[in-house]
Amino acid sequence: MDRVYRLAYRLTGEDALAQDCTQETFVRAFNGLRDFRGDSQLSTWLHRIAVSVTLNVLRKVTRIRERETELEDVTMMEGGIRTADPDLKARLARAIDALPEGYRTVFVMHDVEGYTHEEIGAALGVQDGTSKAQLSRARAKLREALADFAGEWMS
Amino acid sequence: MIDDQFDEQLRDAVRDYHRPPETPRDAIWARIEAARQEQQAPVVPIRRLPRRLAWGVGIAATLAIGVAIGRYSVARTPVSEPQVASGTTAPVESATRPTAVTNSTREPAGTPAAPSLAYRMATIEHFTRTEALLTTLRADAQSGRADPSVDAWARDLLGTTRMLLDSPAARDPQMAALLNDLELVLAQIAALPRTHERTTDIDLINDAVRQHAVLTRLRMAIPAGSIRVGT
Repeated sequence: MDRVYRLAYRLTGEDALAQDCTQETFVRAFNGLRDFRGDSQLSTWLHRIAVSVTLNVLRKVTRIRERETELEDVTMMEGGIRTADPDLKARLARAIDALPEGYRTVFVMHDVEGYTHEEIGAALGVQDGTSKAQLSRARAKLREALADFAGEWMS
Repeated sequence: MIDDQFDEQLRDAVRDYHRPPETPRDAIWARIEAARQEQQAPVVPIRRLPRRLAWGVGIAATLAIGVAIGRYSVARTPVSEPQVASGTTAPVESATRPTAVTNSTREPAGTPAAPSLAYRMATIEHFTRTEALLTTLRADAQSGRADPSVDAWARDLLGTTRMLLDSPAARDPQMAALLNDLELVLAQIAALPRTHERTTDIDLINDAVRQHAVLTRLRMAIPAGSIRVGT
């Protein structure tokens, strides 16, 4: 349960949502246990459900919060990014949040939670190579998003 | 060099991204337990209804559905529908009608109450198949077996029963009563749980079948010499 909750929390950023996702994952797993054929490990199967549930929840929540985000963006543009938040962690968090869903999921699973590409591939139903490629693109996008901060940090 | 140093800084910073607290295991397990109980909750009161009341509720529901279907059918039947001279050529079944009766002859508007030969044959075949299922269920109960395939079998028969109820075959009150009883029995078989309570539920269904003399009435409705269907 720890790994499922941790992953859900990393992806959603909220305890209530992470608990919802963990609960839903286990309820679905219990209901579908009869259909589990044992082709993969139980943990892999559980993570596949967890990722699917969490991404679905996130999509719903994102739709609801879109208006709030738009308002935030306007404020940021008016104040200027450089002066809005000089803290790398906060900037990084925002940049990760802004990544496309696929990149973000792979990045969080690999670089934040330490899953292997094999585990990510099994959980997302993609090839290991796809996971590696998405991670590489996610990192590139983050570097790009934080380029101005990198310059400041090095100077 | 700059990239490497920056990446290292990133790797450190990334560990704090949505850093989770300690997993609230007890709270989550309690929620999972509650959710699972909630999922099972609707089944329990129905199963514990007194048998007579359960039949009453089922019959009331069937009547409500029947009335609704009847009104819908009357509203859709055109007054000037072309009449068909013989039973060998029939107008094409409307696309909105259930597909399982599309091969049989449609009763033209304004025909006498007696259903056509095609409906009678379809009903008899259906009764034969239903009798086979109920006999299997009774034999299973007596031998202590619980064949899981009866659920799908009952679902298939339930669909046909409902279509016959909505057809001229149900114009005969006795036939309609039998079809209504069959609908209830088949609905209960189709919803049999796959838990240890399955055997108890099968016993209850067999009791109901016996009380309402469903098998006897089925056999009486099947003329002697009809083709016996194994499934």
